[in-house]
Amino acid sequence: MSFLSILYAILFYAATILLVAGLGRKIAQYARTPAPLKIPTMPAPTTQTGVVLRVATEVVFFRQLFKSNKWIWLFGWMFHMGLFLVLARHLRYFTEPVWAWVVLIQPFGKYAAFAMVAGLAGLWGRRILVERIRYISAPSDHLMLALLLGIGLSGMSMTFVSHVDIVGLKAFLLGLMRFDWSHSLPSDALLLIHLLLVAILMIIFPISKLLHAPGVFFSPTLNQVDNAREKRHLAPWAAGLDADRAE
Amino acid sequence: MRKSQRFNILFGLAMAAVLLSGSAAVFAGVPVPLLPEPVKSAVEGEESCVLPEDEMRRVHMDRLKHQRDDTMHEGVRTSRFSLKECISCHVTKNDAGEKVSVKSREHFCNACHAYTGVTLDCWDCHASQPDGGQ
Ligand code: HEC
Ligand code: HEC
Ligand code: HEC
Repeated sequence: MSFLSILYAILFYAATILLVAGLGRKIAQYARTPAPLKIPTMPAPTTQTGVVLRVATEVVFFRQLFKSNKWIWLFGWMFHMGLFLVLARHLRYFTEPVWAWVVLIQPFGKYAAFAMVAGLAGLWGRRILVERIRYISAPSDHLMLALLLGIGLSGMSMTFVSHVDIVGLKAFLLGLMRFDWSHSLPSDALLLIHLLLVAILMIIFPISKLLHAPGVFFSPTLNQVDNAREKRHLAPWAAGLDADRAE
Repeated sequence: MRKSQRFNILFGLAMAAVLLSGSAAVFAGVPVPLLPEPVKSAVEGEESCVLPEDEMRRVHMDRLKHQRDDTMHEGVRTSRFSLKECISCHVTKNDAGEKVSVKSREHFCNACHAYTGVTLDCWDCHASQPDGGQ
């Protein structure tokens, strides 16, 4: 392996461990945080199945956002759906043989990048052009958008402007996954920039606002059943206090 | 040490262990496309591709499409990036000595394309073997 490859190999091992461990820790924390009150946003489903459907439509269509602000919804949804397809397309670098459905969506993933980047540009435009939003935007809000945009644009340049040796790239990545370090990373500048930005994203993900991705599933206003009259809501945490008082 | 801190450290170690063992389980050498040696039938004495290998890997798709557009729209028929020429140098024979079709992963072009999930419609019209076979 070349020196550069060793550097990137270490970077990606570290970034992966930080991402997985950091996310796991956060999810464990969210799961253990008590939800003492019954506070689903009404009208709420009255069955558990209903809640699953509600969370699903929220995650897939961003229903609440759609009701509150059409512009943010449009750009946000474009970005997230684009990102989803683009990520799915990237599975070709990590699977051998490439799964059939991943081959099938390649062309869609290619053009989803435009939706993704347009969505990001829209969201950033809002932060800069809407004075009220500009006032409440922290540097990290801007930097996060810049980082995502940087990743999107560098990736798109490799697809649409100047190709890199993705056969070599895949050999390098499969090598990392199998602890076989015999294949060097191709040293195309665009690729190096793209990968560096991705590693930065992986590292800061578990300490950033992007935690809304796992967080949405733990939102009590979203994931609770409207059955306060049928069943008494007693958080495990409050149950102890309750038992003490009963004595 | 606080209880939560200890939990964090243990959790981190556990995750690392899962990662390591998970990957080690699939340790089996890295699959790479096995590219057959080009058969230099078309151009006597030519030992290399139309561009250096490194460059070929990165630009052959753009050059081929350029060539196609030049041919189709302007009637320019040079042979440098002609699909026919690619195919005649890069014919692939299997163990039995038969030429393989582009549907097989043994075919020179498809070895890489299958590896990277690329599908081409070119072969709907163009032959993938020098004698016109699919
Ligand atoms: C609909 C059928 C069709 C498809 C699909 C097609 N071609 Fe062609 N192609 C043609 C025809 C017809 C010509 C003209 C042949 C001539 O006049 O020499 C041509 C010419 C070419 C030429 C110039 C002639 C040569 O051999 O150099 C190139 C290069 C080429 N095509 C590449 C491609 C590539 C690459 C693809 C896939 C991305 C592709 N074609 C897909 C029909 C097709
Ligand atoms: C004169 C014969 C010849 C022609 C014509 C030819 N090639 Fe090649 N090609 C070779 C040889 C020989 C190599 C091995 C690498 C080298 O020495 O440059 C090669 C290598 C390659 C590689 C790199 C493989 C690797 O290991 O990375 C690609 C991709 C490729 N050729 C595609 C094409 C395409 C596409 C065309 C048509 C535009 C084409 N070749 C035309 C002889 C040829
Ligand atoms: C060294 C590996 C390799 C070999 C050999 C190779 N290709 Fe490719 N080819 C690729 C990769 C990788 C891509 C996709 C590039 C990307 O997605 O950035 C590609 C893309 C293409 C595309 C564009 C596809 C599209 O939809 O844009 C064409 C056309 C193409 N190759 C033709 C050929 C032909 C013809 C041959 C055989 C003569 C060949 N290639 C051999 C690696 C290879």
